[in-house]
Amino acid sequence: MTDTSPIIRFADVCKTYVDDNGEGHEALRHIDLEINEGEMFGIIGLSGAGKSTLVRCINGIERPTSGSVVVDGNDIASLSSGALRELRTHIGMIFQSFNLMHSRTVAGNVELALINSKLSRDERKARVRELLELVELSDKADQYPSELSGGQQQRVAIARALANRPRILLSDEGTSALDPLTTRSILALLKKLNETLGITVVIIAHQLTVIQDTCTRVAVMSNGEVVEQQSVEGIFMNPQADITKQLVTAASNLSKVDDILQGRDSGFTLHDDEILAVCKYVARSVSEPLVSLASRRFGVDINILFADVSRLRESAIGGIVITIRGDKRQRDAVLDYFRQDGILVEVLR
Amino acid sequence: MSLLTDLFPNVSVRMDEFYDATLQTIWMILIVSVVSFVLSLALALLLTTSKPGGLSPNAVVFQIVDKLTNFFRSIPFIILATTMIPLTRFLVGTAIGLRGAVVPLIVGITPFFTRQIESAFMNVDPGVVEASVSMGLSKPQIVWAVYLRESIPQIAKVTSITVIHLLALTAVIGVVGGGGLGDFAIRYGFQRYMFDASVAVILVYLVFIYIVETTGKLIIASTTHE
Repeated sequence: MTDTSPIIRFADVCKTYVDDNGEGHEALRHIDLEINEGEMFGIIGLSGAGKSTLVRCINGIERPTSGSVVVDGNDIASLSSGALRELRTHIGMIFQSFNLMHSRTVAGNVELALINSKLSRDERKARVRELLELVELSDKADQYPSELSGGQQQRVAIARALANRPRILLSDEGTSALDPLTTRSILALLKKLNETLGITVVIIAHQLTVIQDTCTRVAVMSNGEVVEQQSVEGIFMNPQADITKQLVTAASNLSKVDDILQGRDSGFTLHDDEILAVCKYVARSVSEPLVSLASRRFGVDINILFADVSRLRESAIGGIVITIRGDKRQRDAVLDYFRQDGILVEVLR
Repeated sequence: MSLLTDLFPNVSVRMDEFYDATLQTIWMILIVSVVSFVLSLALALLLTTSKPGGLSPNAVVFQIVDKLTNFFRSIPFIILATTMIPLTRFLVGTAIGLRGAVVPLIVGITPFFTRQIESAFMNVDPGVVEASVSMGLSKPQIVWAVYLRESIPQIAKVTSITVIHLLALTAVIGVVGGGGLGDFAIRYGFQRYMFDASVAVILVYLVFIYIVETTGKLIIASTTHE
């Protein structure tokens, strides 16, 4: 995490839409949020939580009903329309549906973003070539978007978003329409841009898997509010809000244990001298040595039912669902041993 | 040549008149198409940008243009053309002939054309418009580089539909003194029972429609990259 000042700051931002019947709908409620320069920040929540409205306040496409949004030292609400357009050229944005123009070639789409730049015609062409090289699509310059795959189209959109050397890149569900493999390559590209160009990246997603490899901090949104804001590790290890817990569960293989607890897995029976436990850990890349060590040392049988290890930015995070068979004294000793090692242990049955 | 004289006895003795009528109709189509295209494009842009949720929402402008378009669209053309005679005289000095025909034709076709072009603009992906806003494009730039550019194939399509619709109106205007092929067909084919005059006019209209449709298709094919 960088220790520089925030490049994006939301202070008590509210947004209320009034529908045709005069009824208000609160899309954003009292949002306080700071995103630091150079970080990759995730905003996660179910659809309708207000994520898209929030991100559109950053480039002024949406105007807050109250509160202030300060981006790169500019209070968005106080900018003239000209100044706002100027700021927008320095905030790139990509979308779920790519939003490329069908009537323009790949190069034409990227060049459109340079329409207000002071570059000469030749410099523009050169910049477009440079951008397409960056997203590895140099050979597609003269093709039309309809001839490209979804992942390639999103790369064009990224090249377009980067055209004016933005300091901020917003991704509004930028990978939601892509298959898992393509999602990974797009996320890797965003991470590369963040690391090599120092661009602040804000990623909106409805799945934790999208942000777990890339982001350092995460805000969780529900019903127009930011219900939780912490590091990615914290979100996985120690989720606070109910919605966060649900999202973490949905992202984890360990949620299969629910089938056992609710009796849906008929092939599983627990012996009288056996307990079922879930262990969660961070920064431990291999779980087996601990399990085999404990089983040898305390003379118990440990059986791994499920395991789930995800790599976060710099650490591994994960958990195992195990059964421990032995007498009560032995089992408790194992649990103590795990806990001393910094593992969160929860005995389920 | 004798075959033509046999098949079209009444037309062949009025060849000069037939040429003149054809030319008059061609001029009607050309002048009205061009003027109405420009007007309709402007009105459709006004509707698209001023409507709620558009680039520059303006309820007053939208309601006025929207209601006026509907009003003129709801008047049957033959009634519009005859009711307009005093206005036409005032504007161009005469209500008959090519000059007299052009004014009611423009008023008659423009509301239809406006709705057609407006529907072409509606097909422009709002996401693309939002993306161009996020890139910092100004409103005129978005109109020019996004709305117009993205809807060229659609505009070509609705223009060929509209011009074909206009062909029918050019025949109607002939009945009320507008001249052209419609006038020729009514005067000889209908009132004097010269069946070959009607057939000759139909054939010319067939050629017109073929030309309009083929041109439209060519433009659509060369501008579509879906």
